[in-house]
Amino acid sequence: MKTIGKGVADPCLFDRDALQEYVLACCEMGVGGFRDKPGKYALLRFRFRKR
Amino acid sequence: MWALLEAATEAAFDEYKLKRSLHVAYVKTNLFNAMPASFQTLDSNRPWLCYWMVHSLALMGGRLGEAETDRVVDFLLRCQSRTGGFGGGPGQLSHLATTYAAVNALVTLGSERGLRGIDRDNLYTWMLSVKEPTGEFHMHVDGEIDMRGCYCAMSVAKICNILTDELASNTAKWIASCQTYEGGISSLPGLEAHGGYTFCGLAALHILGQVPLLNLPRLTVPCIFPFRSVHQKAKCLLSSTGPHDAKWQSRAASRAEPTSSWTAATLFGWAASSRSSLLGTTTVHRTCIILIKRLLQ
Repeated sequence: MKTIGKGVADPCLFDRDALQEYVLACCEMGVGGFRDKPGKYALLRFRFRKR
Repeated sequence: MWALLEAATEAAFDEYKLKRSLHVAYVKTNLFNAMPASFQTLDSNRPWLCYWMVHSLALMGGRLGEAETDRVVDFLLRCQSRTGGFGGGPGQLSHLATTYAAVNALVTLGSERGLRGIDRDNLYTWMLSVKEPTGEFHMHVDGEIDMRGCYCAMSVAKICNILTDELASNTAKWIASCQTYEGGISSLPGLEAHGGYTFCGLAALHILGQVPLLNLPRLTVPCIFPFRSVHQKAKCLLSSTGPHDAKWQSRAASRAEPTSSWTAATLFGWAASSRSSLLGTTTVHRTCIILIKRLLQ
């Protein structure tokens, strides 16, 4: 059992940091939105209105 | 050389920050603009699209104005059928999954008009009409039966405060009968266990307060095992490199709590949507692990 934050014991059965990094590194799109997994694309389009 | 590599790795990790404002802009753009023609296959899932986007905004602290909220509420209420429940769009057949999405989107939006707009009497009658005496639910009148139905029905009934003994009778028992020899839960008794259905079954049992009907240690093992072994492998690798291990630990310790709970909450939302075909299966499995972990705490 490792510790997270201010010495709080983390009873996680998996590595939260690794999971978080996976989501951010592999699934977050640079223009907003997330994809399922590498090789897929975020579902919707990115259309920003110019003001 | 090693120090250089380490510095580069650290720098790469530091870039992994949630691009919150971009996600909020992305969601708002897509919530209020027409979708491309290729999305016509999702025409029967429109409350789902509302739910995903409204829920994401809520998690990321993005706010909808009153007019924008009204627009979403109006749309969702137009999906409500006169005979109870919500369909995939205005005028469509009531379906448990879209009912789940619509009700949860309305609850997330929190507008009083929206909440009052849910016809709870007809919703209750309709849910009873799709229920089998043995506890399971059809997704719609004459529709297929699977684990999603139980979760959607229990979740909607609980949040609308119409979860009666009549509506819940035999459901917990039926869900427990879907736990397979592998430990996970299948869509119907006798089929293969599946991450998405495991989430649905476990969450429904949690709502019913009947989780002990499952064999929890058996449920945990197959989900966790491959993940744990990868983690252990990673740990061995890291500990063999000495200083890197210390770096890894300090990096772990410096992580702020809200970000990890956000991730958990997002994954919860994704899996709650039970659109496993739209999700990577790994995501669904990991969400199950999160939920199981919470329950075991």
